[in-house]
Amino acid sequence: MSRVARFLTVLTLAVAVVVAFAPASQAGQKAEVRWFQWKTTEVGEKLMNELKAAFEKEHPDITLTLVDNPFQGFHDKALTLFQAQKLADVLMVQVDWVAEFADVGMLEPLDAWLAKEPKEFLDNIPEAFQQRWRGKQYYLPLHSGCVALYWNTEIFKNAGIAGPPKTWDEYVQIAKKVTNPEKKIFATTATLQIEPPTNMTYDIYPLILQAGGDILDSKANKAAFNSPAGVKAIEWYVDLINKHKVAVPGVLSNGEKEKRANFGTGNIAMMFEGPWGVAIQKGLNKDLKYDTAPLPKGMTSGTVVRGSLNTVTTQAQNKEAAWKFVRWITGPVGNEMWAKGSGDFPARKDVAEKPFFRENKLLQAFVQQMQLPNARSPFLGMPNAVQMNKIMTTEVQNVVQGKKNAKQGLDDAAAEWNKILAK
Amino acid sequence: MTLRHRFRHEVQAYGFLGPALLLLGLLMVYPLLQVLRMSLYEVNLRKEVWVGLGNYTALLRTALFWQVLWQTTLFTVGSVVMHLVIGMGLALLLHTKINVRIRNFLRGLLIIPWLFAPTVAGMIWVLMLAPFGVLNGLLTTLGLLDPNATINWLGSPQTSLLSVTAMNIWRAFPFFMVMLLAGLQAIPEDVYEAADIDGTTARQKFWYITLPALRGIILTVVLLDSIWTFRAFDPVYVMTGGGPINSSQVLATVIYFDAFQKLQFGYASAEAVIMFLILFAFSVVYVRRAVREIA
Repeated sequence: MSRVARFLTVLTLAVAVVVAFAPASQAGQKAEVRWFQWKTTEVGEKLMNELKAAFEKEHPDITLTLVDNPFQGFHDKALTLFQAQKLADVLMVQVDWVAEFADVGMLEPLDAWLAKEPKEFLDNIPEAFQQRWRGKQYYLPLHSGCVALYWNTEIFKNAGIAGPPKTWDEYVQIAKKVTNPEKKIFATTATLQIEPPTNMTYDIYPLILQAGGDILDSKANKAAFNSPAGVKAIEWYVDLINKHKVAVPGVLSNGEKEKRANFGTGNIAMMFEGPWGVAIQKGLNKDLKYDTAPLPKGMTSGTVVRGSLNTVTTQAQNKEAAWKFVRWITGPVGNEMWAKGSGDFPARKDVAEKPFFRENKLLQAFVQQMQLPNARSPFLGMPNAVQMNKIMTTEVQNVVQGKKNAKQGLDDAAAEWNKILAK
Repeated sequence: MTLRHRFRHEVQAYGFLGPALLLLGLLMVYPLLQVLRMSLYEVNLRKEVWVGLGNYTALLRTALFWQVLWQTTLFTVGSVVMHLVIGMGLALLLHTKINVRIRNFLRGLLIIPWLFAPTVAGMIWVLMLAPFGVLNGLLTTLGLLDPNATINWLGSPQTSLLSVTAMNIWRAFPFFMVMLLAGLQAIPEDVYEAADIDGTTARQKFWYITLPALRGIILTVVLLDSIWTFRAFDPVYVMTGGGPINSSQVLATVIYFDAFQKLQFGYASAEAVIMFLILFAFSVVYVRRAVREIA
């Protein structure tokens, strides 16, 4: 081998070694943020790609990769990916999963980043979404929404009723007046299906809050719903079903899907539902004549706030870049883009003030309801919300079936909750 | 064959078997051992604490476990018995001397439920059994149900398990029908002709010729169906989610909920091991039969 050839061989080998062992991130290489979410299937790729383009334009050093999985099975998939050390950088979660995922070490606290934000950033996030888990903030909301009342204006008009009920008593009076089993018209959609146990959001927790009760005593770390107020709420609810017989049949097997389908037929006078129900009703029956109003009051007002949230995971490859995306999509530009494109209720107060949102009359009742006392998201304080909701659902089912009275049912549920809370 | 040749031959055989055995080990034996190991720990993704047989003693002391085991048995026995009765009845009807085209058409028609995925069949039945669904409508039309009343088939603790079992019976009876029909067609006609000469009644022919001739098939399909039904998850999950008040909960759904909702992976593994042992007992009977037949 000639000297030149030997030199070239050594040079080639040296270059190969340098290339092989060079660090992955070099100057000029973009950071990647993988966003694991279920929204692409819901809102379509167009909006998601617009969001991606807008974010990447503002952050040219970051590439946003959309990783979609349908909502059904999303929770289990996230857990499995975490076990396999393959969790994405930004994970979308439901309010029910925050504490559960934080406890198993999936989520990164956002407090250090939030501390650097100006005051108005958090001021624009509804109070319900500033609830911390074990002293730390793990999420920021993408969209929000509380439960309010949907009422069928046609049924009300035919029964000669001027407007929606403002109190529990008015609700019962109207319910009795409009219910007509022969015509298959019922006042309300009681839903107590066990799986998924999401019906507590609509049917039970708001009533406990309206009765002046509480769901959790965060100081004592104990269940608080088995109070006289809680008992009153459950008794009022069960009376609608068993005593006044104003609920559509199938209470124990009706879930959200059945509730919406029933209301969509035009035969149900009232429904407890979130702002997401407006788009759903449009799809089910665009000719349905209905309006929305704040929930009737018991001793006080009360509603449950839900929403989809974004989190930074502990397995994120580039946590700083992941935070930048969460910050951007919760910020005024990203959040307005999301609310406009998806039709969701904005997570930010300033976006909810924008004219495009103000024009949507059906959603204004939810804005009002959010401003009334006791707009809360109890799930954010539950270590295992899915399981705890299930316990509550089973016990309310027992009360509806007459196997237990309201006090016994709530005490038994509280005993099970306290075991989970004590862990 | 010399010893050296035989050795080489065996090495070659194991070489061919190797990848398949490795795959079997990775996909079946490893997860099985993992479940066995996890059943001896308290596992919640963050920690693993050795509890020995603690999970087993805890679940055996839980009333809900026994209730679920009983419900799973009812669901399995009800489904398998009715599959056999309906499958046998229809196989006998299709075996009668009717027009071949009509028979083939009916056979094709009756096999349709078997073609549905359990989840799809479950969803169809949810719609049919809804308070204002087809079944209640039919009962009202026949005058068996008050027009202002409804039966909440899936939402009542008294009827939820029955409803899920009914769907499962409907979906899987064609499997029995097809297998038994094949068995019936394999019985030589001259056996029946000889019986006719002896003056036997139709009932006697069924008990003393048909049933004994189908014994092998019946045992096989009953064993297989028992295994499939005992571990069925989809019908219950789709139709009732195990409710109301756990009245239609079966072992497969309770294991899933304990693992993925309660995050009690150790406890759920113990339940899975018990389920495995029960199914293993069925499998042993099935495998022994199969081996005996091969021998």
